[in-house]
Amino acid sequence: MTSAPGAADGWLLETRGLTKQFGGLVAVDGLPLTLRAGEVRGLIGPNGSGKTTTVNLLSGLYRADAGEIRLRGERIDRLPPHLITARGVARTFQIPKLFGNMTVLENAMVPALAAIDLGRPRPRADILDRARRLLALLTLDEKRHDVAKELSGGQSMLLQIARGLMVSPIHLFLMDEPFAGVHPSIKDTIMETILQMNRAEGVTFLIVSHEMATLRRLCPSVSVMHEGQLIAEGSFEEIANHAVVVEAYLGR
Amino acid sequence: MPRFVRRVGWCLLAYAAFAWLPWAASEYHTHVLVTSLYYVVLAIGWNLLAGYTGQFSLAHHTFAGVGAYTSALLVLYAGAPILVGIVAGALVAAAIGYGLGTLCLRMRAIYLALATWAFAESLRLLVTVEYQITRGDLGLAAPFLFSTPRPTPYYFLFLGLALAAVLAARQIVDSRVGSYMRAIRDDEEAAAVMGVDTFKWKRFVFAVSAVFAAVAGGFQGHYVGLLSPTPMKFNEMAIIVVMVIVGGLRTFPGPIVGAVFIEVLSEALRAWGEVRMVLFALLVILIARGYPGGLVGISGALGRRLAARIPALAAALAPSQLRD
Ligand SMILES: Nc1ncnc2c1ncn2[C@@H]1O[C@H](COP(=O)(O)OP(=O)(O)OP(=O)(O)O)[C@@H](O)[C@H]1O
Ligand SMILES: [Mg+2]
Repeated sequence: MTSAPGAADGWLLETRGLTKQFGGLVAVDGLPLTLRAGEVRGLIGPNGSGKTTTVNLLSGLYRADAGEIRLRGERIDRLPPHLITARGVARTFQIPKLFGNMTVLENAMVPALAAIDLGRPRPRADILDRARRLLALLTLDEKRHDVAKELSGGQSMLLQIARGLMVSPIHLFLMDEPFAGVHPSIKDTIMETILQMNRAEGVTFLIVSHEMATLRRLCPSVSVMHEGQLIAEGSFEEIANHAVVVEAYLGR
Repeated sequence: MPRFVRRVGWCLLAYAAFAWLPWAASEYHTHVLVTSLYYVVLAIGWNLLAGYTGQFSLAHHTFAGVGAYTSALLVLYAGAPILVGIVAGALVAAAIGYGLGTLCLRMRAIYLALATWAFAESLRLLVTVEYQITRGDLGLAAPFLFSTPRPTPYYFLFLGLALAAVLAARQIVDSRVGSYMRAIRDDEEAAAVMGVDTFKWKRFVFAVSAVFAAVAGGFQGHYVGLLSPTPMKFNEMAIIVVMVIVGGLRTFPGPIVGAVFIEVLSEALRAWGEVRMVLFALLVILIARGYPGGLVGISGALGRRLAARIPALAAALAPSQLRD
């Protein structure tokens, strides 16, 4: 596992007072979120609690109204999305967003081609090799010449993951509901991939999910959001006994 | 580079293959060919922007006007050589295109179309109103490039221009920039979070497509010999849209096939006058509903069906799928 240099206080990711409002609605409310390099963290919370908004803030698609985001100590909250990606952050979307008219392989190649523009070219043979290996890992290699819009929902999720892992270097992978509505065998493939990339390359994961059973097998600790706020953090046992969490999920 | 060299070779071959046409055609037909080639350049440029990058600009024809007026005014008032005028027109168009792209960075589909249309109309009005400089609707006499209005020398010029446009567009589309463009068109947010500087590349394509139009427009001005704001009207934009969609939006040969097809058809049906536009509109609706790949898509499908019947042809076409 590679350690994350540069972060003075040892966090890979650290947000402080992160806030996003939509009109009068505070979707993310003063969020303090910290991830250690090499962690696999779950992010849970009821519908509308601000999980997707958090991922959109972290990846730069939304601009925070207040607060800061630090990646390895460096402020990234004013950077455009492509420069956040250049610093090693990848993501998937809850509803897959692919390049529908491009082939599976072409989709996977986009981050590597974009890196050339960011001044980080790599030999074409290397990136093609990595793309093929990732597609194989995610059981998509046979489909590499298929047009992406013809993939099933589960396959689209797999391709989003392969494409995200093509970001290089990759430090942090944000996954928004990767298990929602996918076949159990695809779920297994995704879990395998997360564990392997975490072990082999030290990639840190933040996984938004409603699937407690799956998260329990992947994540030693989870963060719980409710109405835009972080209401609890810890192991499953800890949060399961947390009164506020129980109330957030079952209450009202 | 070898691929580029090979392509230059193909273009030279294509040049030779089409260079004899003026000898076989009447002067009138040669003129129609020149105009077709002019539209080929415009259509290729607009396909880069609207087809490949998904920026449905309605100001493309305006940049032909920018090229034409910039060059003619420089030649007339500053005594610049025509080629200097053309280059200046291309640079001015690149700058304005970049500015228009910047204005439209955060606009989606319909808003971008409306904003570019408003921009196009403003520029047309400006040219009309500033008649002390542009002579407005009276028309500005631009000197002939080859000191003659006869079409043959211009045919050789525009054939070269069209092939240069094909070559340049092919290089862009096949480069990494082509991947950025297609990624932006398919999903701009996904492109951005996968590391593509979407703002930079959208502006780039706006500027490049403006240059295509300005160079074509500049030379066209010194061929026709009289500039007026009329070709800056929306009709002209509509024709470019029709050409690209009928030929095949976002296919590489689409704008080439469409421009020649529509221009020739338009001349053949000249007697119909404005009714032609209705016919073209119907053609566009038909194609958009049934054959989104346009004429290029239709002929591709026919070719594949034919190939399926003839095993030898199928075998010849197959290896294209093995590329990695
Ligand atoms: N672009 C937007 N404009 C307006 N309101 C928004 C926007 N995005 C999210 N919201 C609102 O912000 C709140 C948080 O939404 P968010 O999508 O972050 O929740 P979530 O935790 O991801 O929910 P889910 O589990 O359903 O995916 C919701 O009330 C939502 O309606
Ligand atoms: Mg969500």
